[in-house]
Amino acid sequence: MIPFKFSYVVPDTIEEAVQAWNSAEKRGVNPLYYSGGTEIITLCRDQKIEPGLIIDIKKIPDCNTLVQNETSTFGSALTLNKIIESTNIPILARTLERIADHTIRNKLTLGGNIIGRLPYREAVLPFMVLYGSVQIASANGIRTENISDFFNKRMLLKKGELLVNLSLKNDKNDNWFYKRKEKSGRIDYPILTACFTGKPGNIKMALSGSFSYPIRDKEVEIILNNKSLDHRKRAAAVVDSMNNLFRSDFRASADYRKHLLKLTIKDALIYLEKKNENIQ
Amino acid sequence: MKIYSDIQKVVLDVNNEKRELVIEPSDTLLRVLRDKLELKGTKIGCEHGDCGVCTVQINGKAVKSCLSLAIENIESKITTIEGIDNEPLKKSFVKHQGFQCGYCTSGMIVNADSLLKSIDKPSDAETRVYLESNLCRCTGYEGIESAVKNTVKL
Amino acid sequence: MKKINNLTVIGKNTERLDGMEKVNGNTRYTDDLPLPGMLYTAFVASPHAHAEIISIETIYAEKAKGVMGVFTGADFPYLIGLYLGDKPPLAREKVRYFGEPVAVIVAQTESEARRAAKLIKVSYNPLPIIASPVEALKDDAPVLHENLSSYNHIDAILPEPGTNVSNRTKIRKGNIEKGFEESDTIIEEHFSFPPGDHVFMEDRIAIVEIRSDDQVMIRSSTQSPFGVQNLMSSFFDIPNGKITVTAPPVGGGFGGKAGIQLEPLAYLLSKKMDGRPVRVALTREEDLVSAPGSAGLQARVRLGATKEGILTGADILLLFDSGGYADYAVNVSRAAAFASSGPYKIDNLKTDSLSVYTNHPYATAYRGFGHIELSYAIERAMDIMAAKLDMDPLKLRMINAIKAGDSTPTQNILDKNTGNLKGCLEKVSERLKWPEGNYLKISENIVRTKGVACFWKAPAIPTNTEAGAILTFNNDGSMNLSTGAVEIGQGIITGLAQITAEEFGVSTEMVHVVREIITDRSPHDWTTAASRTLFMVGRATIMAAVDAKNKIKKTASAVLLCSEEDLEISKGKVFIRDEKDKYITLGKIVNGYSYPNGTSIGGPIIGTGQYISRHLTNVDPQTGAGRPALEWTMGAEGVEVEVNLEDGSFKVLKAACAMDVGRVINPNIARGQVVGSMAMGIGYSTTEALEFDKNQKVLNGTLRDFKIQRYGDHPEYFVDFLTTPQQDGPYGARGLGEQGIIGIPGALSAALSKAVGKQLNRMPLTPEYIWNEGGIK
Repeated sequence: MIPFKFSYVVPDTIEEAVQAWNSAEKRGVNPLYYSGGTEIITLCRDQKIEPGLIIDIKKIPDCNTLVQNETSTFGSALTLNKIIESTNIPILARTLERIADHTIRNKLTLGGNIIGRLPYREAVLPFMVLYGSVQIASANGIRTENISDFFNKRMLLKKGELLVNLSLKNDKNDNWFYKRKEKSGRIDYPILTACFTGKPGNIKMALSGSFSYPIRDKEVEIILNNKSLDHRKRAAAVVDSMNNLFRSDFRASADYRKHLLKLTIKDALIYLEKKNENIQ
Repeated sequence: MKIYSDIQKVVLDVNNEKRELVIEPSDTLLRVLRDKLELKGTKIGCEHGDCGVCTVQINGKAVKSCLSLAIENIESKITTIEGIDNEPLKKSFVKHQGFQCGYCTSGMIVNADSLLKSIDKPSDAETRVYLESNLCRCTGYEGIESAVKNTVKL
Repeated sequence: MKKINNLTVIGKNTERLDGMEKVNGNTRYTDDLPLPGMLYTAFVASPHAHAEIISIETIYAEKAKGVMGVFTGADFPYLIGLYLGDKPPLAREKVRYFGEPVAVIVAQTESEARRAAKLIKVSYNPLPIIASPVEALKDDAPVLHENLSSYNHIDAILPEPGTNVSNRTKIRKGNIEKGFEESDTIIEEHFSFPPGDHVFMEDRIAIVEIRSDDQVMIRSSTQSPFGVQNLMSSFFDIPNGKITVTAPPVGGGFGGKAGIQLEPLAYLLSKKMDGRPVRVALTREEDLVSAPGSAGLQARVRLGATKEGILTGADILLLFDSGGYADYAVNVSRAAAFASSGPYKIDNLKTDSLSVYTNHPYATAYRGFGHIELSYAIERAMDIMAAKLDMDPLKLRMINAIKAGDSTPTQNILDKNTGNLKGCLEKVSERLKWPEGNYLKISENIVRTKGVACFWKAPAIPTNTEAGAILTFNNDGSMNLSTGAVEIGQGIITGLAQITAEEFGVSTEMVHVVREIITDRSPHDWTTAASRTLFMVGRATIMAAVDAKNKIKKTASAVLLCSEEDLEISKGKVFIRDEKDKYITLGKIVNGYSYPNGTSIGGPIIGTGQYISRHLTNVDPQTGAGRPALEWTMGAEGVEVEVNLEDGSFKVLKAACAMDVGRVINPNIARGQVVGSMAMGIGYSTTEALEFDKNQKVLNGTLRDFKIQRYGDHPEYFVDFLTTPQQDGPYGARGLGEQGIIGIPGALSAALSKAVGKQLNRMPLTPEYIWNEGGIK
């Protein structure tokens, strides 16, 4: 239950949503954009946040886009299950289908997972490794940003900016590898989530769970693609280069997280090489 | 843009009945179902989205009602355990020991019903994906697996 | 009793009486029946594990909308405890664990109570913290209960003032020095695991109101309506008869709702509110942390055996982490001592079992009640001994399996009601294909291994544990059974209906079992716990049935003009045994019989039955000698696991349990209990551990972070029942609700130790721990 009151509006367009946010902010009413609401309701229940106005974006058409071509676009208000059921991009489906549980995924949205408070944000990983971009709306209009420029620990949205949708470029050759590890069973926060795409020599890697936020680092990818090292040495070198970032908490120590990442990198490299051997 | 600034009179479609009631926008669907509509079959277990005893169906899809606002469901068909008419499933739960204390059973049956309505003959993996959303402390899940599988057989 | 080989209902898979109600969501649990004018509560809990309370500012909360009252420990100068009165309803002067409630708001609505709770400001002075029983026993450890010497307690509990020991139970059987002298091999090892939680699906709740005539009316999710009545009476000096406790069906108990929980506080608040009903309900987080869970353990076992594998002596130290308060831990640790040999013949046994105060959330009764903690330690020791003797661990257990004629730790000789433990081990061996080996390398990284353990448990009950039963009848010939047994999911109402139906030769459709236990009309019953309910309430039910039948026959003999010995009752009729056409349908006689001319005789038949635990005695405080155990249910368990040595992750493939239960009243229900308890055992051993930071603050106090088994985690389960009769049990049955959990920690630890080639002596058995100890680096 939520032990305090707030107002609730359902805009029909992006403009209405942004306007509602700005006017509420000016009045000191403390507005929040809301799609799935699973995180917002949890935080309200615990009285960790106290929004005065909930702006439900689920009816805005642009936030419900689902277009799949060479570039695919997914609205931020789409539920994870909706995307999983509809997508032809395996790495996207595989990543999303391990977030929370099936019933929650009927409500949890793409946008909610990426710009919520929880640090895992696993849904952004496929976008990070598939040339992802985001469409943002603000009082100044709508613009597009590349994820590589617009995500640093979190999506760099300013207050009042609305995440409208995310896009990515399909990898026609279907080169991908996904791994997730947890401490206590499938339904749990990750201690490692790893998305890999691309051909050997040009492999991209985005990680969550190992650290306190998702990371894709192009410098690290140089080491990842360094063919002069064998798989084990390469995995160790990658992990060493990120040594201070590994998270230690009751789910896993930093050492164990490092170990899991080493194993996963090794497995990813072997898998993607084998896959591309067959193609040649 | 629809605006609900304060306490509201709304109509909710619950178990095929149009129910008129007065709610706050911040009322969760779980509390409105139990306290305002007196449908006590949906249970409170954690109000944190983790246990599943509060599961209802919104337009046939399983949803944890503790993490849904009543006000966001004005245009939805809401089905609680009281509105699940799947007699073969319920009988199978009784016959195959799908429950013991019964507290998780409402949510489990609502979710299992949504599984069987979405997938004709669900595989083990598909059944797992749905039902791992609901905790049960008594049965160890063996009876629940039997109950769902034996319903499919019919 | 009917002849055992003509049973028509006992042993059948009767569908649960409460089945249709539960699958339709119509069962009314405590929170489903609000009372008119009910008030609501919210708690403020301590963020410190050990601290002095300097001040509590309540003024803003008191002024908040809807608030009827704000209360702190200062308002309630009571010390409450089942066995040892050490706990105030709200913390007084200091807090002793993270999450201890320090204030409560009473308001018109739950929202208003929760809102106001945020307005309370508490200031603390942190104190040095005790993180484990071993730390608590150090000479320089802070004393958590300075007034231990002044606390009321029952005679059987022996607290040690000036220390953190709330009870010490000693077993001194035989001669331990001699025992070790006779051994060829001695092993000694330490074992440990942290506190955990019951995680029943229905959070704890109590609703109390006080009627205008001062009758205290309690509705609570409780396993123990009469226990609550008794304890409330003694804590608050109210005559028992002025307290009425109603126990509706419970959404899972597992021992966590035995004893006393929220009822005292709810009563005190109702009293402050002029008797208005007050609902005290816990959030899940409060239930996990503020309310009690399962105890942690630190243990040391020294075990001696001959080179042939015969155990000669054991010296055992069990330190129960009971947390900030003693609650049930004083008895849990005691029960563990009484069982401390495990189900093995050990003639020389020295056990010290202590319940120890620490700054952890406190512990209460939990499934297994001391036997599960003890079993972990002794089964680990057995496996380590087997390894040292280079002997098959199953064979070591066979050699030492306890049997009729052997003596228990409390020096009772096991009688002919003793189960066939060897037969259980053989069955588990068969199910797991043990003779094919317990280690198989599947690939470079993957191994499959097996582990076994034995278990036993007797109900840990007072010497005067009692049960009763009342049968009344309806004009259709059906009967109403009223007992004090609470339906907590174990299927007791169905089992009792089967017993009653068997006695009357009818189907269970003719037996209506009362679903809500109310202390002013249900027969007195100790508590629905300890796996004694079917045994004792079953006996009382049989007696009530026999009593009712005798009374029916008395009236019928007048009508049918024969002697009572000529009559039988079956299939809804009372009839002359050898002239079956001379009968009366029960409906026409059970509430009085009328002759054709209208003259009436007899009257409503009321059958009554009772049972009290037989020949139990107190124990000697120095040696533990005595007879505290009514009947032992024992058996064996085993698991097969597949382990990935690369990262320590594993899957339980199979879990088998063979248990000697005397007789199975309902095979499906019995299997459900055993499977459910095995599942709980797997969680207990692998994921269900409270995690603490260095200040003993709980880090995983939500269901997001405290994990139990989910659908899909379940292995293939094998359950077998052996049936050496319990001659004094109902139809030869003995209890079985808890036993399935007891051997799982030992069996799982054994299998995983085998996988990594190193003895794993701690739980939880997480992938990281397993990988660290013996995975591929």
